[in-house]
Amino acid sequence: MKKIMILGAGSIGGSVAEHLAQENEVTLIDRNAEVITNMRSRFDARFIIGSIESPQVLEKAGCEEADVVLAVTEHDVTNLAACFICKTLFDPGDACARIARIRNRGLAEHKELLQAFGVTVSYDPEDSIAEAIASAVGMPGVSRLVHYASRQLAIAEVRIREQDISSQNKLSDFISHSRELGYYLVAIRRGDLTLPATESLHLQVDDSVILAAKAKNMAKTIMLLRNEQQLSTKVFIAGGGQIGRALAAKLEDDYAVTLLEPDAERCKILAHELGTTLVTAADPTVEEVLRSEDVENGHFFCAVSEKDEVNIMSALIAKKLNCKHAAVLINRHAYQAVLSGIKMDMVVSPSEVTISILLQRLSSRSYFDPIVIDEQVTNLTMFPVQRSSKIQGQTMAQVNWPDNTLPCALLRDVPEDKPSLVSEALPAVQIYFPDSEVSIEPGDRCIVYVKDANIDTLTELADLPYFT
Amino acid sequence: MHSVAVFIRFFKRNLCILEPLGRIIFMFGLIMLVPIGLVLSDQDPTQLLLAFLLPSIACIVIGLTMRHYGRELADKFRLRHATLLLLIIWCGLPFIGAFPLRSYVDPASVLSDSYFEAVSGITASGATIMINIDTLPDSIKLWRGLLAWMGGMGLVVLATALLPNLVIGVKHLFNTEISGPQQEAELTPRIEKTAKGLWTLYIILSCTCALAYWISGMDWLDALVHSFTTVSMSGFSNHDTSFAYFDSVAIEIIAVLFMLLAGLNFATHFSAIRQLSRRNKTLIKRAHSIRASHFGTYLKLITTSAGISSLFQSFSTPYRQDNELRSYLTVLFIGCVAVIFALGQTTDLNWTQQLRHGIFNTVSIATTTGYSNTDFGSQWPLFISFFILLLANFTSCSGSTGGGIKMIRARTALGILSLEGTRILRPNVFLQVRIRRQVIDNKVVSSVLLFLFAYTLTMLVLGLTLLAVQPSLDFLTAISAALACLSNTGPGLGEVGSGTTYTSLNPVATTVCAFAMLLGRLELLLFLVLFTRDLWR
Repeated sequence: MKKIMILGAGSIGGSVAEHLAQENEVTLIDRNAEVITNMRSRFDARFIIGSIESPQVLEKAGCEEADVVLAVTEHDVTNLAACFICKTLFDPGDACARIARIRNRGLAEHKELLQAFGVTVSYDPEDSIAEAIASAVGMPGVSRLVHYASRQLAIAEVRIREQDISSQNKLSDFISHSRELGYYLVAIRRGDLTLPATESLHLQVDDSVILAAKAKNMAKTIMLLRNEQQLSTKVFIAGGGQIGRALAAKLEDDYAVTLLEPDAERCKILAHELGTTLVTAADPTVEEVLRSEDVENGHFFCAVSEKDEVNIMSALIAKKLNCKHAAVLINRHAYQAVLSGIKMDMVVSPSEVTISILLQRLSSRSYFDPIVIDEQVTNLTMFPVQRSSKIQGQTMAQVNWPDNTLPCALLRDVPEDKPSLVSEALPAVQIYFPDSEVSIEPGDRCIVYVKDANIDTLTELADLPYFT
Repeated sequence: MHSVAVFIRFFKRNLCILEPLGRIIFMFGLIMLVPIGLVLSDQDPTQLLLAFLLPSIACIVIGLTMRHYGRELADKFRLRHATLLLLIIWCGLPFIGAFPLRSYVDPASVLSDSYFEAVSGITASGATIMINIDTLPDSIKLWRGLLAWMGGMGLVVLATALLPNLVIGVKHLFNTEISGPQQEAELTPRIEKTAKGLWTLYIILSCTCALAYWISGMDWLDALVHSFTTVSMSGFSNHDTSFAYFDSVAIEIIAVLFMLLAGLNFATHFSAIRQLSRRNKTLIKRAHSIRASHFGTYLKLITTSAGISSLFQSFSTPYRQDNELRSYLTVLFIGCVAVIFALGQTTDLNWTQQLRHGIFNTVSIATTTGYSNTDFGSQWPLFISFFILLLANFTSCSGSTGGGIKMIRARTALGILSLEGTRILRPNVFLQVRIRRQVIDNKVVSSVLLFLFAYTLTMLVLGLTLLAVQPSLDFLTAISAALACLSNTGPGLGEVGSGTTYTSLNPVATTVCAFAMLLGRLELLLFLVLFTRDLWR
């Protein structure tokens, strides 16, 4: 149980707090009394009304004892100031992690400056979301994607559709290719069940395949799994907010991007900032508009406006008009549950992105990375192999894993020949999949998929002292 | 037929309270086992043993069954269920708690009298219907104390502290049970931590109190039971003559001190102690940074005048910032002085007696405890005893174990009055009610006004009802009984005064009084929910 301070109860701060309050001691501070009063009855946390730039308020909130400070207001300067105050007044030993939401690109890249302000991690939710959607556009059918080892390893969940299933479609076909193409099938999710990927299994419609691959092979692997030819390069973006703009900027070199934004003034600015993107002043929830923009032949429809309702409606219409894929941005958690019955290719929530970043940084000793798949929480867990661990010395296939655990991959740091002068280069990591013959050594990092998020048995097996 | 259908539907809809209700009943059953330890000292142990064991086992079995069957429904728990649950446990548990008491009340009206006694315990009122309390078995004495002690801090708070992860809706319950208009901010990020903290504080306070009583001459059972009823501001005593039985200045001083402490907001105590431990931690850190072997340095740091003053500073800050503390102490001080002065003018007590009787009884009644060290009801002039009974209505602070309308509401009402005065002179002025610079929200202001209105009305209606159900009562007895029960003080005036008990009331009248105590403890408005159509449809 961590002590977490969340500064700013906006859409991100609020939903992150709600999520974290289930397991942690959360204190939420915001200036807006009305917002706080509304949240007070929703979940169990400590709520404080006050300005987060005020040392008195921060002291009252118990900043001294915090393990993590999360500054997520909309203003960079406020977030920086709060981190600076926390660092200077309450945390001279630098024991707590301070995560700030920084929108300004130049500022976010200036690491030393951020460090001077006491920010240990900066992140930009809009940019992270745009990044996630952009990678999904490249790999359609992926409902979740998690990266490890500086984005060299990817683990994805791919949904199987009717047209993906050919008559002789046994899993053995995929498994036999896996060695040469560098991927590994971890499991098949069918309804509530999670089945280990064995050769005799047949794929069915609506199965989800959980797949680990080297990041550069991921797109190819998914193409193989899904019977897919990309016919169109048309990508539509509904909503020209921060996310829409960032997404268009990322995609416009490779795709024919059309951006739909009802506000004409905003369109003018966007057209100025973006390159080849066609910015159109139109309401994306009107069917005629989508028809005239030729959504029918579209490859991907990304609904990323600020309003959840607009996103859901426009994506539904686009799907009805036979647009191949759609991604929806959703702030309110309740809407996600509603959408689970409808086949969206991707549902993104800002709070989930924030939480996954947060969880990676919560402490150097925690290796959790829970991802939420549909409504069921499942854990992808990365843990270091101890000297005392029972699993070392065996290959991954030999280890007697607990029933709820499936191995995904093994990461081994490659010792560098010479002290590297170029620090920007990626740290060299060797990735092994469970079908390799390599035996596990102390110091390796092991990634496993835990079906029911209960890691007790795993903890025992791997002898992890800090999971207790 | 229709009403039966409505009731069945109502029952089905509210099944999700089974799980939390089961938990609380289970806990109550466990606590009921405690007095069994004292059963053997009595001459008729089997009968007493059964009196405790039967309801206790029934509670445990029923509680566990409810928990078992209600487990899957518990996540549907919402505010409406919380309200319902609170009503059920506060009105229902006294029935179980009354079971052991039933052989020691008037045989003619066992049900209403034992229920009255149990309600009076659990609401920490301290009005008693028993005579010859001195001769009661030890286990019964302890049980009365325990009832008061549990109810003082709140049953749900206790359940949250003992059985964590009660339910999500517990937060609603919590705020309703802790008295006062509204909680400004949560004490800790997690509700069970708050509950644990409050109960730890409560237990520490009780233990200190018991120890102090014991050192100054009470036997251990008296010390324990009186400490329970002091910190819960109940006022149950093991003796018919209350504190006059001990006739000891030391004991009276201790009682006054702990009543004063218990009349304060427990949240203030809580944050004071937390501030202290925080400051202490920084001192340890600093000591560590000066020298590696830090204990000696720490001692040196802490014993310097700067160290002590900084510790004291951080300890006293929450008290200084408390909105009610100053008014609370001022009212009590002025009350004591006025009573002592009036006693000097109207009675022939010598000055030490004036001081002792004046201070002890004023503090005891005004904080809604209800001890007495003299039969002030019959020996003092009426205006003095009525004055201290009136004080009981508003003196104790919100978040304390006391009853009445609470100091913060009284302050707010006073603020509104003075505002209205200004508004007569300057019709267009824009004013806000303030308590020590802090602006009171208009919503709170109107809810305070509503509460005051409801409180006064309830008191009058209850007094009228008492007169109606027992025409032989005189007006003073009726109105003071209503007042003393509604404010959870206990003893009233006239026939229900400090020297006597509530035995002169008939069964209907005692039930009305029991209802009045529940109304007072749950701050009235909760009962309105029962009369909303929304709940039943």
